[in-house]
Amino acid sequence: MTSTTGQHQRALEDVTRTEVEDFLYDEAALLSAWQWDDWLALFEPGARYEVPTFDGQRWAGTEGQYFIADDWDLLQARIIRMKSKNAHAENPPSHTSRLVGNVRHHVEPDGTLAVQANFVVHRMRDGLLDPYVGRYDHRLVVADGALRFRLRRAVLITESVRPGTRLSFIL
Amino acid sequence: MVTTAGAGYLTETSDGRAVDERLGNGGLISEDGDAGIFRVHRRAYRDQSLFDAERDRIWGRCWLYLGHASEVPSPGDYKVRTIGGRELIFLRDTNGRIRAFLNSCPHRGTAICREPEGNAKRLRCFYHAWTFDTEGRLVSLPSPEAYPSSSSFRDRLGLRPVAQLEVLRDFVFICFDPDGGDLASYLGEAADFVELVADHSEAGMRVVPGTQRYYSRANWKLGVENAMDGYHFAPSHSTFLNYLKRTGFTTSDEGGRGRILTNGHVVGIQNGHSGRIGFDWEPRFGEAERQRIDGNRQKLFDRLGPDRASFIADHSRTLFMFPNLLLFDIEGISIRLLEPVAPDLTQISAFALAPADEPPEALDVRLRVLTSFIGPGGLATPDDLEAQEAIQRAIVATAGDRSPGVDWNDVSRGMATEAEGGPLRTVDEGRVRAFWRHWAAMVTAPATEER
Repeated sequence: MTSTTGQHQRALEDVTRTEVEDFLYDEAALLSAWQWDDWLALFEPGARYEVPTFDGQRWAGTEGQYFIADDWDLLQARIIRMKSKNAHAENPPSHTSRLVGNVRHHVEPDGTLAVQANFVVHRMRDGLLDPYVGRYDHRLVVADGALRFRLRRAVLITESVRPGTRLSFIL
Repeated sequence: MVTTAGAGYLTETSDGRAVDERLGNGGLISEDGDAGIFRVHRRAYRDQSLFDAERDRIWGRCWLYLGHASEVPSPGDYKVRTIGGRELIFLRDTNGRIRAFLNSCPHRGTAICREPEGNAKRLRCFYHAWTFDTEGRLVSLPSPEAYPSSSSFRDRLGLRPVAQLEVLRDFVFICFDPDGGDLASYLGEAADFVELVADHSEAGMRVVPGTQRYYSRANWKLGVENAMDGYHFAPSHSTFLNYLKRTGFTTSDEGGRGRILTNGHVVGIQNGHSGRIGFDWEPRFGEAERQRIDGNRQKLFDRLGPDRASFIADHSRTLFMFPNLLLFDIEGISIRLLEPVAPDLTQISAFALAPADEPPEALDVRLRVLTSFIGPGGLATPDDLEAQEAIQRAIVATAGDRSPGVDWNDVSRGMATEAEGGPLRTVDEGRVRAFWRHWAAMVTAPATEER
């Protein structure tokens, strides 16, 4: 192991669960407040955002069909769209309440921090309340001393979500 | 002259009440050719007795898309799928033949397959351990001595197959009506638009794993209207069009032409509407795909000749096969299955179809490009769902209003031009009208028990 890699891994290994939890909680607050630029700043350039299909979860993003398979270009397009009055599915906007828990993390051999957490996101719109239940399966890195997404992955655990499976908001 | 379809429905509601008593209205669609006005009564989207009539007269009689043979590639592979309100086991038997059975034990009705997919040499009901082979025969049951020993007893208690099943180039269709005629007669010219998709690759086509399954809180027919209406494209999808523009590509639905086929099937055809993975480059496909496209086109033209190859490679097509299949042959291929759950709730399943031999890098581009538009997380489909749900919520406002014209939707765009023999433009509503005419004729036919 080279010293550079070793230092990098040690730095990741120093990350505490409290730091990871704070990162996820702060992110949830940004999403519920529709602070898109601040949210996008949590990603390193080139990062991805993925939501796999219910029966496609055993496949990598390049092999199976996803609900969302945003590369960096598409993720930025999604945010431009979110800010537009013409994103009709989110105008008026969804209101979300986000519970994140059971946070675990470990360092992967590829030098990323694997973060798993459970989520329950309640989405309010059109007078209806829809729950989305699943887990996060993120890969984080440390850049300029701060945690950043390399891969942000939200995995719904339901076979299908009966109402409003629309994912026009950020899960 | 005003003609009103659906008058026959007046005395045919399943609950025995006359429609005109409740609604004070003559029919379901109203057509005035001279004035160029076409209207659909809004109860078509919300009435439970019409939904029940559809179950019988449409979903119980028409050929329906079930799935693609590549979804069950090996003997014993199965998927559980609900079509026309009936949960089915869609499987490949141990001899390799595609079959579909009702997913209910002939003994006491238990669901036999309780996983959404799997592989089995035998299908076994857990409740009393009755066991069937993949051809549906009852092959064992515990303590059989207490039952009649005749073979006719066992024959009677096999899995119940759907009345008809036919396969067209790996596209599997079923019909619950034994008297529903054959698939070729039902599809007519629509069959060729299925075959054009099958022709994309010499190696065959396969459904990529991972189903986009989602729901619209809206009537299924709003999903058909939406897909057959190019008029909404620019106003509804401006954020998607702006995204394309930023990638260096512009598109519009102007110039698209529709065709009305038989039995309620309609198609829209666009030339140069969008890029096409493997055939027609867009900047967002990337440089590697640009280079691959040259060779891929050449192979297609060599195999199929210039006319058919160009029709495949240079045109987008969206086929609606009445009543449950939307086949998008656009940037990529998306098979969309519509499954009504209630008058105001529809389950939608979207499958991605790709050449069986597509290289991983190209498949990656395909899935990313398709998902950028299509599905509940795309940059466009959510706005379509928003439109359909906003209609479903709002048409309750006029329910029961007997003022002339208030409880009707207007579907007149392009009607006068078409009457004069003008082109059937995809930005007009001619295909939507064709759908409604066929729907009204089907739903007002005599009920099955009265035939």
